Parts: sequence; C-alpha cells; structure tokens
Amino acid sequence: MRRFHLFGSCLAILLTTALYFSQVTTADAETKDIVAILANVQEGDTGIKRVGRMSFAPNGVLLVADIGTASVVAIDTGDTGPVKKLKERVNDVDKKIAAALGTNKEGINIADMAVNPASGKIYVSVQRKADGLNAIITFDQNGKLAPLNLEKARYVRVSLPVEDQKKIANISGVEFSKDRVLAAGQSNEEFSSRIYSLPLPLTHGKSGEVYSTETYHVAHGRWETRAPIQSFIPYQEEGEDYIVGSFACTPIAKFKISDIQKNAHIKGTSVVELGSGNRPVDMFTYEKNGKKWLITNTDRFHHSRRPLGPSQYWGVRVNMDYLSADKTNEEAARRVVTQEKGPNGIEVVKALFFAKHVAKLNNDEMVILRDNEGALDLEVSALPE
Amino acid sequence: MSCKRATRIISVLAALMILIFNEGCNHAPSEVADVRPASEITSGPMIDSVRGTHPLISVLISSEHNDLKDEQILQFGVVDSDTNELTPILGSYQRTEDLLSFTPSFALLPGTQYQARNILSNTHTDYSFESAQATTPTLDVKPNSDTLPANHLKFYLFFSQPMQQDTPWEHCKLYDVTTGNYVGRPFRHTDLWNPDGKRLTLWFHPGRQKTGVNLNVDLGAILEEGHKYELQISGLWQSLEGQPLGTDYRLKFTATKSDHEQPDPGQWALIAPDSGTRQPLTIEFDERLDYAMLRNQPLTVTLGKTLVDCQILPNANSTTLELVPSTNWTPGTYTLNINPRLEDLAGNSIERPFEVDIQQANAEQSKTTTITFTLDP
Repeated sequence: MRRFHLFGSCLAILLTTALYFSQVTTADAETKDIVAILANVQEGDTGIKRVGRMSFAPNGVLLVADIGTASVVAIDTGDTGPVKKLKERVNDVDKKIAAALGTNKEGINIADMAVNPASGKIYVSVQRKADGLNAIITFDQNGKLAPLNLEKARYVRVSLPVEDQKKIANISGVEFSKDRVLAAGQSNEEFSSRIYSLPLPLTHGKSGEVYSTETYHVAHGRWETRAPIQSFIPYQEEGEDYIVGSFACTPIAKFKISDIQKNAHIKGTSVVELGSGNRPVDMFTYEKNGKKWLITNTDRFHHSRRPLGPSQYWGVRVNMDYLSADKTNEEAARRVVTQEKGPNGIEVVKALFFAKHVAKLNNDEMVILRDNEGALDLEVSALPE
Repeated sequence: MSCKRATRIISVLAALMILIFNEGCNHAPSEVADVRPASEITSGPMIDSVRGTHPLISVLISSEHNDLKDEQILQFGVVDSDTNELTPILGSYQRTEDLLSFTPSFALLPGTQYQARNILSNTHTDYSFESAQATTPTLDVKPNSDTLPANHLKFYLFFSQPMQQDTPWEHCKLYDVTTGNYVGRPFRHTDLWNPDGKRLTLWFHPGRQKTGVNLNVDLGAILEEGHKYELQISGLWQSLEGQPLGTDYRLKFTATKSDHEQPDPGQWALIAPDSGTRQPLTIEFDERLDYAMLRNQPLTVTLGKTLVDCQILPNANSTTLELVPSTNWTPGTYTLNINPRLEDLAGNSIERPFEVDIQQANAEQSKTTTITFTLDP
C-alpha cells in the first residue's frame, strides 16, 4: 500500500510535469494552420503599464493592448479548455472586482472583456483608478474570480514601431488573424489612427516587421479626413483578407489587408451607416442557419436627447452580405434609425440593450457585461436566430 | 527512502512551489513612508506589516481545522461601514501545521481601512497605512490664447505629476459665456495620455468639427464664431498620489472665424543670423501651429547633406521658432526640412487640409516642405 502511495505521488508529479511541458510546447508551437504564434517567450513580469483592449488567439494566448507602452503583450494563459461556460448570471461584477482589488466600484475602470472560446473562461481587464494598478480578473464557470498573474507569466511583448510610440496613446483593438495579429492605434497629437500588422510568430522584443498604415474616412462622398478606428475584426471574403472596422462616427467600413504596407494610406469603404452619434465598442461575427452576421454594440451619444431604446448602450446585427457590397460611402446602406429593423438584414438586437461589453462564446451564445441600473452583471445570452 | 520521507520531500517541494507562486502574485511594494498596523497584535489575526502594501496576515490553527477551507478561518478585506460586512480581497493562502497565512494579490491602497478576521475566534485586526506626503498637482493648458478658431480641435493639459487617468472628460466642461449655457458633450471620449500620465490631449469631438459628418450635421459645430467661452477643469481631479488640483482651472477665449487654410512654409518669414555666430535663426509662421507637434521634431536643418545640430525653441504661443546651433553658423546654403504633418490649431497640416473636399480639383495640395537660406561669409 505504501509503495502504491509513493508510485501514485511520482505518477502525479510526472503527469503534472508532462502536462506543463506539453502546454509550453503547444503555446510556442503551432495553431491549426501550422503557424507559430509566439517566439522567444519570456517568463516573469509582463510589465504592463496600462491594460486595455483584449482578445484571444488560439491555444489560450491572450492578446492584451498595453496602452502605457504602445505595445501588444501576448500571454500564454495555459487556458486551453475544455469549454466550461458560465453557468449562471453573476451580479455586481464591478463591485466584486473592486472588492477583490481592495476598493469600491467607483474606484475601478473596466477596460475590456474577452472570452476564451476554448474554455469559456471570461477575462476582464481593469485598472484601479487611485494608483493606476493594472489587473486582469478571470471568471470561471461558477462565477468565481481569480487574478491572472501578470507578474509571473509566460509572455511575449511586441512594441509598435519606435517612431510611433510617442504618438500612440490608445490602442483601440488587437485581434488575431490567420497569419498575423492586427492592432489599431490612435494618436494623441493627430486625429488619425494606424493599423499595425504584426507578423507571426509574435516575437518578444521584435518590432521591425511591424507594418502600419493610416486610415481615412469620406463623409457624404465629399469630405475626406483622417479617421480613427474605434473597433475592428478580421474578415475574409472570396479568398481576400479584410479588416472590418467602425469609425468613431459610426460608419462600418472595410479595408483590404493586402493594402497594409509601410506608410500607405488606405481608405475605408463605408458599407453600413448605423446612424448618428453612436460610439462602437465591440465587434464579432457569427454564423447561424446558413447566414453570417456581424454584431456590434455601441454607446449612444444622443440617448438623452433622442433615445433609441431603454439604454444608451445598444447593439445591432448586420447581415454580412452588406460587407461585400460594392457601394461605398454615401451609397452605403443606412440603418433606418426610427425602426428596430431595416433595411432587411440590419436589426437592433434587444439582448444588447444595456450591454457595455460583449464577446462571442460560440455561434449560439455571447457573453454580455451588462449595465443593470448602475451595477454590472455578467451573463451568457443566446445569439439571435 | 521510506514512503513517509518521500511524502515529506514532496510536501516541502509543494510548499516551496506555493510560496514561489505566491511571490509572483505580489506587486513590488511602492514606497511607503508610514507603515503601521492600526492596532497591535491581539487575539485577532497577526499582521506582519514589514511590506506595508503587501502585509502577511496569519492566524494560529491546529489539526482540528484541517477540514475547514482557508476562507472559513481567515478573511482579509474592506468592511462596509453600514453593514459591517467584509468583502474579501483577492490573495493567496498558505497553510502549515499550525499557521494559516494570507497575502494580498495586489498592493493595498494607502489611506484605506482594511480588516483581517479570524472567523474561528470571531476576532479581528484592523490595518491601514499612509503614503508618503503627497504634493498638490498643478495644471497648465496649451494653447492658452485669448482667441481660437471656431473649428479648434484640441487642448493639451500638462500636469506636474501623473494623474488619475480614467474618463478625464468628466473633469472638463465648456461654458458658453455668451449664451450662459454649458455646451453639451463637447469632448471626444477617448483618453489619450502620454506614457508618463502627465499630459492629456483633450479633443473637441471631431465628429462635430468635421464638415458633413453626421454629428456636425445633426448638432452643429461646438464653437460658434464670436462667442466667448470658458474651458473649466475641476479642482477635484486627483493625482495618482490622491491629491486634488485644489482649485478649478478656467481658460477664457473667444471663437474666431473657422480656419480651413493649411500652414504654408512659403509664407514663413526668416530672420537669418550672422555666420560665425551662434545667433538664433528665427522663423515666423504664417499662423499659430499645434503646441505639441511643434515640440516633437518639427524640422531639421541641413547644410548640403550634413545635418546641423540645433536646439529648437518654439515661443510660448507657437507663432515663432528659434533655431540655435550647437556650433557657430558657417557660410553656405542651408535647407530647412519641415515635417509635412505639422498642423495648425484646426488640424490643417502642411501636407493636407483637415478636411479635403474630394469633389474639388487639386483638392489635396501639399505645401512646400523645404525652405533654403544662405549665410554669407
């Protein structure tokens, strides 16, 4: 019996060791498309100065925008599944996160929320206002909070180009595409943004191969200005890779990724206009019943003056067929702002009223961080049929 | 090796791993001037405050507590003064045969009252500490002139120390002195801070300043020509040390005619120095330029192909600039290579206007970006 205990202990250690190293190998090595994600992985303090937008790459790699250093930090979380989605709604998420950080809910700023599709685990990036402390808090299937250890992590940091680092004061999105990571940076001196293409594998300390380009927007087919992208996702159409992005002034536009070259100017093709005075927040696509949809949630500028629904936070889904339209700019489809639906394929999503952040869990469900009369609740919600 | 001994080694290794992991969870302590537990060790939990922001909290336990979860024995957090309810903060527990210890995952905040509770004995120990003496932050705003074009785009807020960064626009208001009303939501809700947290770029909402964009069409521009305004910044805004500005900042200005003209170096006036001296070369612009961009590599000077090392000294209201060479000017023909992205107050750059009317012929017309001047012997 004693021998069995000893054998059991050794076996457990061996299994743990094997599991640990298998995760290391997985994270370093390859995605389904045989493309390495991370190289020259570091262990230790990620050194994140100001945590911002987040999204997941394959193999549990969390992409984090570090606004404070104008860089992208990719963290190998080791969170590779299986899927255990949130079982029931978690109330007062802001209060719980704040308490976990030793303050009250007024003392924190929630920067973003991401969901690992491989595990269903929810990640919330947060900053404590009083001292600028950065944290990423996770919620498991039972709604239990835990900190993601940012000071002892396996990570890779890729800085945006040196010449841009002084100017980039906000990274409005970071997303994995099949062979690269894309980031959108906003300048603090010019009214502009740049899209950065970071080739895989993301290599710690390397930024030389980062390509960037400026984005422009044309209003009413006449007035062209530089314009910052507020949120975006990668998108494929007929073998061509695009970025679908929202400008701060609400048109949804697409950009061809192959146009991304150093110092190029790319002009977005506005494909859908959501209506005046909405600030896009998150974006994702899903497929259901043979149709592909784009979901985006926004913060409505005009809510008090001209309410659209019960909350300034609302969302819409757009049939992806609109994205392949050749019509541009002033001819782009315009949502009928006085109705919940229309034109055909553009619909207000009622489940997204009060949604401050939303992320896709799978093609059937999304995770919503919802404003509930001043408190924030976390819940899984069905995507529209 | 006996099974018992092997198990002990494994236990020690496991304990070491837990300790190492726990260390990793902790932030390095920031400087703390006055670290003191609010009360001495009592029958309540013991608090080792050597690391003030990361204290070690412990209670004595025995084997009879083995079945209890850690949080059923010891909790540490902030107490709600109304309900006396303690909300635990995140941290990690370590357990030995006779001691259960807790370390917070994140640095504690100075000036906050924390409490450790021994659930078993229904006792508690309070804990707080004060930070080093904080100084009052100061604020300077650029541009700070009496007049600004009605399509003015942005202000730079310079603070003497890092500030609390979240939702900065909530500390700022725009008052229309002429009408006696506050302007509704005039600022862009994107917080654009410098890495050191001491400079914020506060934008008027560009969607209302850009011709033809929906917000501009729906609500009109933010500034109206001829109106007097006051930019107000709340004195309650706190630094990261928790010190407020103290007094409200008010910047008064009058909106003048909108500016859609690009800065044109071809219209700039040069006051040349004498060769053989280090007199400044003075450049007088044809209009006020953006404060920050004028201080961020606005131009270079070359003599032939050689870069001339110069100090670049813009004046306070960004209408002139002096170039002071590190060595005497030598005779020859010099070239000023101007950054084409230099902007005026309305976002018009040398390279292109803020808004380009693409229906107009030659809509995108970059101005010259080089100026030459010759110094005689």
